[in-house]
Amino acid sequence: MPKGNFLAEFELYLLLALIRLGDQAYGVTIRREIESRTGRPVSIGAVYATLGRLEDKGLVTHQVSEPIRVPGGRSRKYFHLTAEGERALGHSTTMMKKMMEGLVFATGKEEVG
Amino acid sequence: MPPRLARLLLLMVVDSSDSPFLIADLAEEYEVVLSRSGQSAASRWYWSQTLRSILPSLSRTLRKRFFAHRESRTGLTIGDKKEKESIMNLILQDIRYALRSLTQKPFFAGLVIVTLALGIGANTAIFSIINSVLLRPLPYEKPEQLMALWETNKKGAEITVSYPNFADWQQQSRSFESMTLYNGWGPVTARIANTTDRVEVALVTKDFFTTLRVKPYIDRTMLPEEHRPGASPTAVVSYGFWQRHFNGDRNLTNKNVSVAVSEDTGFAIVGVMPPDFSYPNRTDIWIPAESFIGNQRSARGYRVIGRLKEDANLKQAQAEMEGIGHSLAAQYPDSNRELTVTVKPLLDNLVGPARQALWILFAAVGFVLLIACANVSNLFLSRSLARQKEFAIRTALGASRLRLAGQLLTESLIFALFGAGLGLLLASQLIRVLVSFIPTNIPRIDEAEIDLPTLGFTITLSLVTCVLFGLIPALRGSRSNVQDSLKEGGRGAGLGRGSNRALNVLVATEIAFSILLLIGSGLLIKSYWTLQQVKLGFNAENVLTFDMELPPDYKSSAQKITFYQRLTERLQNLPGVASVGLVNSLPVSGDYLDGAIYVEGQQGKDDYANYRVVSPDYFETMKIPLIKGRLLARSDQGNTMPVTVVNQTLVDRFFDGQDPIGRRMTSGGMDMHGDILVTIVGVVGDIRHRGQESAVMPEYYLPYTQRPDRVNSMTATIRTRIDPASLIPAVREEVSSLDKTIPIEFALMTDVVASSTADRRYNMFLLVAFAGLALFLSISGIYGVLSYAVTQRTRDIGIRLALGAAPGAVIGLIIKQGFKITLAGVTAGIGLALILTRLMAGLLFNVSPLDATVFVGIGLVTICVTLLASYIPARRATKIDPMIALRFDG
Repeated sequence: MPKGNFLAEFELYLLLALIRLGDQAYGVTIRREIESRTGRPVSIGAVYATLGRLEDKGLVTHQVSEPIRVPGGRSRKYFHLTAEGERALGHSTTMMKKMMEGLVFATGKEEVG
Repeated sequence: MPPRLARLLLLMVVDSSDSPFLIADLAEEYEVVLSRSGQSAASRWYWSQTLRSILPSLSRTLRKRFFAHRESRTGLTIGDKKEKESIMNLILQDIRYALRSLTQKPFFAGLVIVTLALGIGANTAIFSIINSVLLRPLPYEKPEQLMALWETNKKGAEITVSYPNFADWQQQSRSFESMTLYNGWGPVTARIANTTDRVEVALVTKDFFTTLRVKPYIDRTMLPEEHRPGASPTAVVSYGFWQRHFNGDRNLTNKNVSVAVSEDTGFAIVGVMPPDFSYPNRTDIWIPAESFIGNQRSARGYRVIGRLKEDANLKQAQAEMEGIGHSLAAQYPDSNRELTVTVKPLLDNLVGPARQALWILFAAVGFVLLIACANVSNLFLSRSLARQKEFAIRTALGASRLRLAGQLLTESLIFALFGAGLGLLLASQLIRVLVSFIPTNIPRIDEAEIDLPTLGFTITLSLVTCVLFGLIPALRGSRSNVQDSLKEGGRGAGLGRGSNRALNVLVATEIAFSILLLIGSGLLIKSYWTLQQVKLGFNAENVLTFDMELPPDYKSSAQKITFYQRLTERLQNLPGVASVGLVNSLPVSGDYLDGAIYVEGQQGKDDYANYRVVSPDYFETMKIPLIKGRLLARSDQGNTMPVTVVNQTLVDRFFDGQDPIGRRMTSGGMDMHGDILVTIVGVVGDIRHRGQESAVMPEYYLPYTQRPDRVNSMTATIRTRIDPASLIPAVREEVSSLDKTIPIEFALMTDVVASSTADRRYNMFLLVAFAGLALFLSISGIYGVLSYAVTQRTRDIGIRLALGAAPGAVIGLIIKQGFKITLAGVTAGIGLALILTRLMAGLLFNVSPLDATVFVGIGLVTICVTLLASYIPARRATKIDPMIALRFDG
């Protein structure tokens, strides 16, 4: 759960993934994007549950695609950021950058900031 | 396909607006994993995704349901203060709290979850079998109208029906819309074009398909005129047969294809039945019965089903059929004396003996679950001790008792759900194991699976268990005394007398239930042992058998006899073979043939007897001893005097101590055209042809050379001097060198005997397994309670030791407590068993449901085992260091 107006870590990952994926952001691609970049396992249930929560807050919206044109083809739920979402993301990342300025992490190899 | 169970689980927890997309997404990735890493890796991946999705999805779904109305009104935004105060939030908080405490004490959590999973899993598995076998209606239209009809004798035994009786029933009864007579022919060798196949054939009369209300899949079933005797032969085949032999050719019925199943008659195929239809017995081919059945009233052997009229009920039909039965018995005393008619629902009839065993197993697993609940309840109660302070602090800070109880119940619910989840996994495996090991063909058991009713059952069960094991700890745990508990080292840390009593009662209950199950399985074990002592009357060791069925090209008697003679000679000459016999129905295989016999000069003593058609060396091969006279000989041929050898029981039943040798009798219903008188030349020992459980029947043996019309299907028995199984290739070689088209099936005689008691063994093993599980759980229960008692009394014991108490006295103290609990449990359990074991009388063999040895033995064993379990914590009590004990901050 986010505290105040801040985004929780996983929410942040999701919003960033949506930006990276552009109009290709649906369950499978989002899950893989986060899993491959962070290197930690991500469950599809968490992806949907968190996206749902972000949608409740008005940060994310979705549209359902036409069924794919193969027999038994299915629809996909594509997610993208709302203007509000972009603002919240901008806000959070700025805050984070500010907090990290000049810090060097002992265990990390690269300098963050 | 992704694992069905996982998908079902997802459907349950994921919000319905997301679930189709989420599941489709998972399926998409599943395919990728499947093509990259194979089936098992893909399944594992899918399951791990599912399991890790449960919590976030569930919490999302609950939250959404709860706020649905408010969201639509106000559009909730981040940090809504009201939301934080809502009950939902409290529940979520409780859930999070419970999960945290679950991860903090992984051993405790694991123990609880595994215990519950064992209980819930076993129940789910047995329930799914019960559901598919007993509860699900038959797959026919209005199945409740379908009845099985039997003739019954005065002992209540069900006897098959003869055609003339059936015809009278059909004509006279008013309760039935239609009635049909049928009979499975057993596996026969059918010839289709140039191939042969072992198939199940059923003879059916004309209303068979209309009574069941089954429509053909392709074309039609037999027309009424094709059911007249002498009509050109037609047949309907199963979907499977059609696929196997004709690749599902939809034009088959226009092509005039025929299948030969008897002699050389070709039956023109006129239709194909739907895929799921195989009544009565995995049938492949249905042919009209009318041309094959005799008009003798005593020629029984058929089964009858009828469909009740809309306005008729079972009771009416039973009364009516009894009346018809009585009048037939009066009219035809020769064939129907003392026989009446029984009507019973077809489903009952099919499931029959399996019903009782299944319900008993279900009751047994129910008790296992109760024990598991008591055990978990125990664990929770004991743990309340450790949490007493935590609750006191929360009470001091203003938490209400309701709030604390709610939290404890939430915790038990979480445990119950985890237990149910794991239990489902367990059950899905267990079902597979149970079904694949089940010895007999219980109808519909292979349809057992985790379906919606089963899932519903499991969920209900886990809620019930949650209340069962969670309620007492919740009520007790939430009642805490703030002042006492917070005092450093105060005695208030204990649960108080009331809770101690609750613990003791719980454990005593567990022991009582375990005793019940143990006595039940003890009775089954004793039955089985008693059964094993029954002599079969022949020696099954080192005997190889195989069934064979002559194809329709063997027409003349001479052809058949020559074949069997040559076969016997060839097998006889194989190295390692001692002797070779032939018989038309192998002992204990379940086949038997009987008919009324009549002994010359013994008016009014006609009765049923079993007959066998055998070769002369059959007796030597099976080691059936000759008691009097001579055995059958090679010189008994078609043109010599018709002879027979009878068993001792037949002599006892019909000859009242007179010498039977040289007397003549009819050979029962087996002669279609008039009765041949056969002369008794010898008496042999009794064998238990229908297995160790059934009584010895009067039996007589006829030489196959004098009965060539009865030898189309025979079983060869080969006594070997070497390992019988090692002869299989050589025997196969010999048979196929005589005739390649004869399909044969091998079995070791010892296996045939073992399989006759397989049902019993199966029930016994299951019940023993459940009882063992129950005992294990209750032992761990008593161990837990006593360990807790030792911890609680550390200070007390320390003082005793410091004052010079002998270790023995301390051990005695603890064991005494254990003994009291055990004794109460054992007494209650035996009382319970005295009432309940009579329900399983039908599963016992020559053992009373109140068998004293079993009751006393089980009672003593349980007392010993539980005392042993009490010894370990008692022993630990003596190791207490008084100095440490006095400082003990309980």
